[in-house]
Amino acid sequence: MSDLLLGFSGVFLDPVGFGIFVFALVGGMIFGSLPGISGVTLAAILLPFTAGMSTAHAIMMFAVIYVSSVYGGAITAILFNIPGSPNNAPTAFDGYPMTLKGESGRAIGAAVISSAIGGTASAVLMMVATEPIAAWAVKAFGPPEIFALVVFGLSVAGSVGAKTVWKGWLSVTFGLLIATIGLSPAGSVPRYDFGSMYLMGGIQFVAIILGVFAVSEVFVQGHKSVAGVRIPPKIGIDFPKFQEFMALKIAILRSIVIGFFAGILPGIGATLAAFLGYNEAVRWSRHPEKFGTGTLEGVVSPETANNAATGAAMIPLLALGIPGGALTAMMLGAFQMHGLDPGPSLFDTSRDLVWVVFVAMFSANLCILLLGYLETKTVVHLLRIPFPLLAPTILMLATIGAYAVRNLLLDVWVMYVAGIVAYILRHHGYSMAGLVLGVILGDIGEASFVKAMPIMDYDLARFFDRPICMILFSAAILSIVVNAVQNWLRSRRAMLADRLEAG
Amino acid sequence: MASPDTDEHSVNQANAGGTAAFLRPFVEAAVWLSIAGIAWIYSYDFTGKDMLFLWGAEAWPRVAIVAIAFGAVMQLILQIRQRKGTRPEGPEPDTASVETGAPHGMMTRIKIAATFVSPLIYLYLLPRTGYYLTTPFFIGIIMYLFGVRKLKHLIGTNLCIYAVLLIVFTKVLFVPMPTGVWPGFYDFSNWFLTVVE
Repeated sequence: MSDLLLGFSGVFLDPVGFGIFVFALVGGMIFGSLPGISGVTLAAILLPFTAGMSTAHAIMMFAVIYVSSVYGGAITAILFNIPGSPNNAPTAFDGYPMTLKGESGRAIGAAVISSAIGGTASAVLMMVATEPIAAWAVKAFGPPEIFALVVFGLSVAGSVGAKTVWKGWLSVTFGLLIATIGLSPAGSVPRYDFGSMYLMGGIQFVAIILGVFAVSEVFVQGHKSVAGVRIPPKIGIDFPKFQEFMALKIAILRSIVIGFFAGILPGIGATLAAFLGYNEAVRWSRHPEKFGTGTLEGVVSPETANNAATGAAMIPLLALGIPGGALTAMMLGAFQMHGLDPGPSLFDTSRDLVWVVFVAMFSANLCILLLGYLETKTVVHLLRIPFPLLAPTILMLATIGAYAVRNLLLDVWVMYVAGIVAYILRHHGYSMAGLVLGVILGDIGEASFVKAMPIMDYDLARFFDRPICMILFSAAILSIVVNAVQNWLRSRRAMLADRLEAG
Repeated sequence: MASPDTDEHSVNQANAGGTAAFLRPFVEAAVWLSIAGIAWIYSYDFTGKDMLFLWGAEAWPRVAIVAIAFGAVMQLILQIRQRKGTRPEGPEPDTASVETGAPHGMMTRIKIAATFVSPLIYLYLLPRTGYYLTTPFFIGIIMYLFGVRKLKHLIGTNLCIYAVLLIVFTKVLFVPMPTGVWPGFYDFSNWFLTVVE
């Protein structure tokens, strides 16, 4: 209790600390919503200035930016199909269709509440169990387990939003192939670079995501607009009802658990958390066919999971000194700039600092709820902008966003090519969710696979010697079988119905 | 009452549509198998070059390639089976499906093609003529293609969008947009940046 009070006084009774808290909260939300310009960019800009701050203020600022930027990207994903960062890509799968149905307010409201719930739950878990969880997770989850987790994630990816199971399969495997462009993870061997130094650096997620979502959407809406069949989305400012959230309590709990454990694992973080959260929502749903068409659960699950990952990502950093991603690596840099080494001893030597960070993250999640409520009532009016004026803005934002990641025009080319390919694939009923999942999980999957195999002497059977791997692989196989049987039954029922109609 | 010419045109269109529908699964399968085939051939470029991973840098891409080929064949079999009376399995396509109404006239088709081509032309020009001069023209063209005809929007709104992007990304975030390499354009971009700053 005294720790908690110490933390609260550090954030709210110190005017400088409070000023930094508000600045980081608002800044993170704004930067998080700009495609290609994520919270990491803001953190990178601010890193040199942290030298003049106290360690607690510096780390608190990064932690709050992390929390608010993960939420910020959901707004543009829902309103314009432009995820602010890869973390918010699955939010667009159902959030944007909700906007098209005139339910933008419900979708943003759901994102606000679920982000706050996920983040707050994660912050509470972080407060009570940082040290034991970090020690367990880092020991239990090695590369084989992460690979098994990726396989588990891929096993359901194909069933989201495709016309047939095989079109979903092709979308995912095509994504996996795209992810192999660039240097191989083990020996840094160039693959599919066609002699180009730029391709050797690999394909950027951000460019692919902007192409697949934003650019292809402008093409689709532009096509409809030119053909005179476009219906502008209605504006909805209704907040989701309490009962609707109560109905999703299991999905929220599941996403908190998924997000929390994905967040703890180094290199996995909020992006995989969001995708796994979405996948599991599909896997466990009684109506998986509704996902991708604008269902509230499709917004709630990834947004809860990606925010649950933020608090969890702090656990290995603070308890073990292991950063899980770019932003936590910057925090490690800030620690080192101030002559501190995070690790188990941090809880003894700088307890006040740790609790200021905990309380700041907890409070940031609660503030998201308040700011988000106001945002829901206001930002949806951006949809009033006529499409011919909105389209060039979206295209320019996407262009600059893709370019800004590495200051490379090749990324902008990749984005537009991805946009055109996505337009064609969408036209033929392929799954964009599957494609993006394939790209993101392919990269993580191969990296963990090449680390796992030497550990297991290149014997695939040894995956089954590891209990967590065995559980995840079995669940993946079960999921595929259940999905195949469900589809077969559905097609058989449809065939019988056809025969009855004909006869 | 429809004229005989119209009837004949409709029949021809229906025949063409039927042929296209018949060929579509084969074309789709051929495209996927071609992608798989080309990727497999290019995988020999890096076969045996990985000194760290025993199974080589080609192992993972080849698994993905085989999976694509398998998926393409299964999809083709499914689509052929559908013709024999079964319905497609799985859900309807997501919002991703592109419902664009009836077949379009020539002018509409040209406009649709222009919406695809204009970003590519913009991208081609970007490193040559620079972001700062090319962008207002691109924004104007996109607005025009999507139906804006009023000059106040084509110039006024265009410049507003341009100014906001300029302030946010050039002044605040210091994103170094291309300044162009063609004589004159590079000088203009530098002069413009000096004025902005």
